[in-house]
Amino acid sequence: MSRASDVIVIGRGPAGLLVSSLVVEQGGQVDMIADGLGTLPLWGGQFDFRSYDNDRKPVADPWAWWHRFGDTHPGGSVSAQMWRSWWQHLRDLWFTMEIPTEKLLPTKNRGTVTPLGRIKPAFLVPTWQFTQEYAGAITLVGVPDLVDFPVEAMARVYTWTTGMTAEIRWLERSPSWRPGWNGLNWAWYLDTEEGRRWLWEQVKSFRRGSAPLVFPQILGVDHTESLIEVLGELWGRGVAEIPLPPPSVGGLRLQRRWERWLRRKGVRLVQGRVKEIGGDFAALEGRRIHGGHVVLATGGVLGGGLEVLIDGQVRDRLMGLSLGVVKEPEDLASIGYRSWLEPTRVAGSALAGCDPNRHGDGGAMMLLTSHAVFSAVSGQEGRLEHAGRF
Amino acid sequence: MVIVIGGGASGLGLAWDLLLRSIPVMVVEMGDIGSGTSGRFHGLLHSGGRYVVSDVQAARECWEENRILKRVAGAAIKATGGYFLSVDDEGDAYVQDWVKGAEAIGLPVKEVAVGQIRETVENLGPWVRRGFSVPDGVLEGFTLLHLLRLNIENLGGEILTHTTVTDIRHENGRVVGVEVMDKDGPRVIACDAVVNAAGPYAGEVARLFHDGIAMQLSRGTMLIFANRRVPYVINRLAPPGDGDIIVPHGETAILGTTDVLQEDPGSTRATREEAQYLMQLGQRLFADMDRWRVLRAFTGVRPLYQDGQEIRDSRYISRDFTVIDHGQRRGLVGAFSLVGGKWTTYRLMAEHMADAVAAYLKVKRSSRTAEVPLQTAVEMDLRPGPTICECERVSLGQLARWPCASLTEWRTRSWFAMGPCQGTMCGHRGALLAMAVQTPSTALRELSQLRHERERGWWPTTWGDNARQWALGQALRHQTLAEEAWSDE
Amino acid sequence: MRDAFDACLKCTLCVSQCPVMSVNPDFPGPKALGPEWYRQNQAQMTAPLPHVDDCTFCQICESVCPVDVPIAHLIAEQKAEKKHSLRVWLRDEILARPQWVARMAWLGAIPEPMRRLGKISPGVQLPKPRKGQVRTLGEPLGADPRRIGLFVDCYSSGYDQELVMRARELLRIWGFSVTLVPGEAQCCGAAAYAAGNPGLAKSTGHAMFRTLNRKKSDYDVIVTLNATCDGTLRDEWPEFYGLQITVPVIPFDEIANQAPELFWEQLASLPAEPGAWITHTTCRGKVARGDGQLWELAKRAGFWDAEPSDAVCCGAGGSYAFKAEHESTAEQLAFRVREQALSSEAKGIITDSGTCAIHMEQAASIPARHPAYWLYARYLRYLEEGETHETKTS
Repeated sequence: MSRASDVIVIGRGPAGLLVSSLVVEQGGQVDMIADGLGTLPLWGGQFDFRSYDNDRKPVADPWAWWHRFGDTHPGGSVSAQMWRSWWQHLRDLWFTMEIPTEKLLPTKNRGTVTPLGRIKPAFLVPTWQFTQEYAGAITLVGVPDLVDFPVEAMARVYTWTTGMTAEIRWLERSPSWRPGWNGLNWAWYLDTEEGRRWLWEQVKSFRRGSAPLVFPQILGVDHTESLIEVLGELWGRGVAEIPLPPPSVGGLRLQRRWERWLRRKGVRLVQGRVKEIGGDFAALEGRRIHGGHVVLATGGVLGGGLEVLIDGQVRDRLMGLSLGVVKEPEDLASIGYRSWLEPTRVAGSALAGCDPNRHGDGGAMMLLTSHAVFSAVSGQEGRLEHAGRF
Repeated sequence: MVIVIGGGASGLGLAWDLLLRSIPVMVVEMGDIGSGTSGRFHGLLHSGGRYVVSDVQAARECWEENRILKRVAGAAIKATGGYFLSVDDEGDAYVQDWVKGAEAIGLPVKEVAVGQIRETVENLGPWVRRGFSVPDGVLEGFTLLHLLRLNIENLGGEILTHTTVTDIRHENGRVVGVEVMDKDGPRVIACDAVVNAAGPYAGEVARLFHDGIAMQLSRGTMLIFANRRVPYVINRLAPPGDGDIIVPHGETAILGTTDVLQEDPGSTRATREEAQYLMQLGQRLFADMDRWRVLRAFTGVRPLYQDGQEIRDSRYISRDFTVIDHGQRRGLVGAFSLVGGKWTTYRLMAEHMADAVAAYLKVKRSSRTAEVPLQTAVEMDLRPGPTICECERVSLGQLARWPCASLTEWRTRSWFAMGPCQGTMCGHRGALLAMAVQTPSTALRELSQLRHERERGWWPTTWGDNARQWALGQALRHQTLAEEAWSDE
Repeated sequence: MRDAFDACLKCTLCVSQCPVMSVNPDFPGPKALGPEWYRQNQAQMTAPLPHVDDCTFCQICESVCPVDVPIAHLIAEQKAEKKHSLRVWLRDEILARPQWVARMAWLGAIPEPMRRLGKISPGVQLPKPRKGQVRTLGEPLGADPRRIGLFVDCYSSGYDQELVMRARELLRIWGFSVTLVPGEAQCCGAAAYAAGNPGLAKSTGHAMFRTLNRKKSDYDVIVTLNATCDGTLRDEWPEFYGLQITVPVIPFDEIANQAPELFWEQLASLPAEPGAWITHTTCRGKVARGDGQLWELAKRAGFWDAEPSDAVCCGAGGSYAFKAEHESTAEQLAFRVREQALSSEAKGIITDSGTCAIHMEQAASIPARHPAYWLYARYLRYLEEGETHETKTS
């Protein structure tokens, strides 16, 4: 490749996608290099701000949490105004990518339901996902043999947790159904004309109810919104979905739309494993890609940016840097880069100090680190009050 | 009636032996079947090759039992065969002693060219020099335990799980019953004799017999790899040492083991250091072992027994077993203990113990366990239904065969949540299924226990891709499913 | 290759991106067919799963796998275990040797009885071999010391000599000296591997390797016109065939980007190519090199209204679409390209594989050709009209 880009982004996960989008929006040319897919399609597609406090109690108002308690946290020095502008930007970006959300940013966390029937806080979610301000009655849609969405048990957990009723409506097996179908198989099917017609007939035959109709996340991959709209008219109440474990259709929708948008903005996606980086290049087996800046968005342990060795040492796979040693599981969250500027620009989960499993702040950390790195590569370091050190 | 304390290999083996002599039996197990040592071993069905130099008696017994078990418990045994491989740093003298020892007990050993072995076992270390084939096999512990259970119950034997013996009732120094505690509270069960087959807990149980026995507990740590990397058992041809056996167990391979004296009869979590140590040893046989996908590490506690001796290194304690009649010592009459031994010889141990108990009860019938094959369950023609565990291909229909089982029992019977993802993708499915018979709070608590049980063995081996598997499991559990989050408030 | 066969995390990223799963409700998917079947088969002989042959061997699963499980190659080993009826076996043996098919190109269409007997998909037509005259593009615009071995894949060799000549002419005016390799219709082994015959793939690949080696003093770089061959020679050979090619292997669109600036300036002086165009990087192109380069090339060449294809795989899969049992899958995958072509009213498709091109051309009813074909046409237009435009702009 002869033509150098402005920024080389290594990694194709949420942080890599966001950094690339920010550069592209400013008219920059991006080369994304990845030897895998990134983790976005593993998740349901909700972006958390702050779901739990340090005692694992749910946070109702994440804005207030960051304002009052965030000083123990890498993102604690970020002003409410800054958070607002980042979330607003993400929401607007999604809008241009045809990822639908509510017009206004949420002022509070809302509650969503997990496939275990449990309630979980949610912040920025696409409109197809079921959320509610207060737990109310729901009607769950059972899908034959879909083991990740066992509605009877979910309904029992839901009622046991919230005291609210959860009714059930069952779909039949569609004529195209095959044993072993997961949620994604259903979604591909419901993207077809035949599938959509069949589902419409099914919902039409449902006994009426007064609560929102809650599906597992199977309502198509590419044509979800129109299907939900049609079903909503038919049911007369809200229709929404609950994300399932992988293969997660919600995250897949985001990934497809996001990457489609980036492709149309001229982002080159280079397939391959980076062996070495310098200030303005990334070297792969047999080729070298040049760019103005290099951003590492290779992920944490799950994404593969960091690797754990047999002796417990945690190392950046590409840079070969040792970042610490794990002894107990809790250590995993606290090991990673301490700065998003050194030794290179780092965005996403390779940075230490954030534990989304415990705190539900994965979305916020992705925003914080991606914007911080973007500021650095676009020469606006001053925008963040401290210089990227945790 | 005889009460057997302990639902492991020796306890269930004994119950089966007694029942075949028409002696009524009840087994009392404090956890689940096989939750102690019997469920925590490498799965090797010894040919005896391992002991031909160090412990000829044990070697002879192993070879004999090896052939008996293939006959009577074929459903739980895979006659894979095995190799003993000598590595550079082992002297020729030992190899010669070993070959002589094998000949002495009539073990069919054949030298095979290393090049030929390499054709079926990839990436054998370059320093492997000689190889000898032996009739080793694989003993699937849980399969055999559940098989014994089935046969015991078919003959009217009763097995109580999650039941603890708290005291022994006796009259005139003679056993007349036991006091037990289960989830419904305490109760007394009358009996004519009681046998302590409590494995590492035998020392504690013996105290209830008013007679202490000095157990020498030894902890062994093993590593499980995700795939069946070897088609047969691989032993290092050397005096028994650490990390010198690899056993192909189902779709996995197990590397064993270490041998460290310990006090606590409970099996504790393996440490990262132990796992690392085993990896170093295993790499003497397979240089690329650090790239094998590891799954977990686990420890078992060997209930070794050597009366009245100060022990420094447990490797030198006999693997032989001992039958103790406490009435002949200073303890209660009608109380017995079965200690020591190893999985391969469980049947022989049970036979000797049952001989003693039968003599006490004045029953003249002798053991039939070497002749009567264990019956396998009649395969019910069930609709398999959707798959619950994809790694181990466990269907809804399979789990539904045991409707009231706990998640743990489902796991050890069906192998659900035991594959490469360690329940990441199926743990919650199992818990939600269990909710058909359990309350939400019980099912969620069992799910949490399942996660902790899996993580215990998983964490010490979180390196490489297994660390990524761990991270995926944690994210799904805490974020996607919110298993342990706020809803209880 | 064997290295990571046991690494699967069960994350299902492969499942989420598998093009066949998205249209074929019967297909068990890469996770079940690859690492899961393989693991079971290691422990006990396991029958191949139904529909294992439905895999197109696009390798998208491997490219998205976070732990480098050679998923498609494990599936290929499973395909090899499958027993077929004699006529299907015979058909597959022939299709696994596309060099034979290419040498028979002069025969024209497949006769109907043979089609039925051999279970050849009724919708698929072999194209008429293209042998159009290629006129010279004039003096070289620069000089590049690298000698290029232009890799003529079996399809181009049999059916599209015109493309080869156009590509050769372009390379020549960019200042390279060009040799055609391997010189006769030969296959790199990709077709056999895809069809589930790794053994044949290796022997075919080794034969090709020997031929290339005989001529290795004639070239410093190999330039490919087909993404599948490109990835096979550079990435698959060392890893799965035990072959190490010592010179760089580069796809045509990347060498095109290194063409002299003058060439691009001259093209830029032409008005934009009217109408919409679709650039489709084939699945194997995505796996081997990535996505977006073709689109960049198209824009640079003046196809300003080009839009990147949203289809992961067109369904051609080498000889995959030829097999009657794959008709529906291949058709539905191509339907995605057709839909996009219709909605954007595209005039043509720019793509990096000859067999994918004919498949898409039949599905979308618009011409689909290799970028070299379009670049040549554009430059010819420059030569014919260029000076007029230059006078106008000056």
